[in-house]
Amino acid sequence: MMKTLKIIVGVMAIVTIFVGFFAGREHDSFFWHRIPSMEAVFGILGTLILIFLSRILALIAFKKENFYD
Amino acid sequence: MIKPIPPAFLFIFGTLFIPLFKGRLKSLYLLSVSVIAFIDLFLMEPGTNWVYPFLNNDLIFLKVDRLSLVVGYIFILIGFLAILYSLHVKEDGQHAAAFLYIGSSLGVIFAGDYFSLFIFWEIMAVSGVLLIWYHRGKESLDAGFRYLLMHIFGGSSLLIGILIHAYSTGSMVVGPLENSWASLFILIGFGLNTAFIPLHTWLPDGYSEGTVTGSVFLSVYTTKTGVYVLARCFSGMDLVAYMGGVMALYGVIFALLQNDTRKLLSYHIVSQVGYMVAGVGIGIPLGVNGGIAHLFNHILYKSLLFMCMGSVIYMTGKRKLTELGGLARQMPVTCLACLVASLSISGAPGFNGFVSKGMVLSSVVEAHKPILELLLSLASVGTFLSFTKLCYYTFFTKNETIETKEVPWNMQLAMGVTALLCIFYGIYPQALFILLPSLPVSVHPYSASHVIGTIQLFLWAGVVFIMVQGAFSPHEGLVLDFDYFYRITFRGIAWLADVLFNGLRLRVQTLFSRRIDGVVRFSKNPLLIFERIITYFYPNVEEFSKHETRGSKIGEPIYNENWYRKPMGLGVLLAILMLFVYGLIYILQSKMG
Repeated sequence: MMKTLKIIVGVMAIVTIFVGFFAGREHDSFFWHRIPSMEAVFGILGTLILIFLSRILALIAFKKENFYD
Repeated sequence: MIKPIPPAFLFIFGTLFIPLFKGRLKSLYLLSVSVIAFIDLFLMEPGTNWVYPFLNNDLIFLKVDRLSLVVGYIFILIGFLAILYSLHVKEDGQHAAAFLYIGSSLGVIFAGDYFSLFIFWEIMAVSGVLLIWYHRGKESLDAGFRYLLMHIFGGSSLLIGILIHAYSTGSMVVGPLENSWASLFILIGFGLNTAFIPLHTWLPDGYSEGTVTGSVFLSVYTTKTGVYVLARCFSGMDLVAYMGGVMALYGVIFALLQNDTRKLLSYHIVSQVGYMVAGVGIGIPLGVNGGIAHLFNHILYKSLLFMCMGSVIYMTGKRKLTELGGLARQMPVTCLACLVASLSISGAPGFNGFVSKGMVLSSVVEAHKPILELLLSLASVGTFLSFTKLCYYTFFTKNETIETKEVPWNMQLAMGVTALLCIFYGIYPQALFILLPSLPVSVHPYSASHVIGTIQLFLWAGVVFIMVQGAFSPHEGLVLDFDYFYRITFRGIAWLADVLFNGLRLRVQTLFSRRIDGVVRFSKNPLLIFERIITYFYPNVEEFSKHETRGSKIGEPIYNENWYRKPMGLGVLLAILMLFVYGLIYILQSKMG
């Protein structure tokens, strides 16, 4: 079940890259608006950046539950 | 023609009648107040006023325009649904606190002057604390006190700002503020309720400790009144717009690390309110419309999320992701509602969040603020990841230790209706557009590029989530926030006050009290001086001080002050009588004058 779901997500993700080339542009203000399927890159990079930031935060601020007691 | 009255009064005075009803009649009464308030609001048109003269000033309890109307509609609508969700609660106090909370929030929305706004603002803070304290237990009590302290700080700042503003401008009318000391203090007061970083810590702290139903109410009102007053007084301020971006990202990063489900949701309030604040801060009509549309939609999906997690806690008694799992089959309605809410908050096409989030992002691009766009886009990715994590670890991971069933009918109905509204406003956003403050709203949310772009964003974020799922797995623990610094500071102040200052005071007091005790003893009965002299010279003459006098028995001191002491009540009675006579003279004098 989970494996099928993962395959579907993967295939759809690849398909949307190609569809993105024909979808047109909503905005044209900054350079990234002019790159086709840029949102896919945002999705990947964004996730990696968030993992990185949350790991750093965890290193600094993650404590035991009874920290304040 | 029936003249509408401030809807705040319906809830606030409606509180008084709650204990009079029992059983189904009580449920009917609780729901009917919201219905009457909605009809009352429906009868209002922009320009309606309700002014009460007070001490040479006008208290404007009702000032209706398109902005207050749209917020008023959603406040009452969700008030009805949250009351429906909490019908099974037997404690009148909880219903009363909720009524006061809804009423005071509506009071803030429709207040036309700063004085009445401040009064409702404070009622809102106090009634909000009650919704936390009713959960009972040490954690709730402590969190409630921290909530109260923070709001006292915010309220004080707001009051200072209002007083400076009134003194410098002579006006108390709520409206756009210029850069000044007054506006700075007012912004801090508003910012605290809106969960500006770093004044936001009361939110995840308090909302995660509220009652199951109380947190649903809490998730709706306080922060949204904050956004509303920002839209009214600080629209178009760059500082506010960028604060929105910071809030959006900050909330998401902290949410990703949470193990407590309601704490996770609370950090997402900070994040989502960030979008609203950004829209309002941009200040152009699309931004304000986007911010208010997001406020409207956020109230629906966030209250739904709190309902869902409240249902999970209500049925299982568990609130941590590490303890949950496998509930999809046992609580299908809650699971489905949570999926709808998660897709809505993530901004998936077909759900309400998609429309309003797109409006805010478009306004940011239109205002040419690239950094803000990147911050909000990154927050959008984080929101999707966070709710994938929440749904996965609550409903779909294997956990055979939990045996439970679906929640009572009223909770299911409330979740069902709220979920349907999330979908309705997603597929038919025009129903919301006609309510927005700036008309006409020329937004086309379902453009091909927007839909495809959003799907791409989610799918590729999903692919990375699947690949590095371990990075998102929940862990037992606590993430320190800015409240760490507050707690350390206040502990320092408490130490300084207790050990240093109080210790010094005690030493000085002991030193003086010894001297004073001697003086007091002799002044009470100067004959003691002779007694002392005699006992000094003749230490064996003890019988000297052991004869009975008025008010003392043998063996007690000669003079007993308790004999002459009157009851305290007599003093209070005399004070009241004195006050009454004084009042009487004052009234007679003013009548004659």
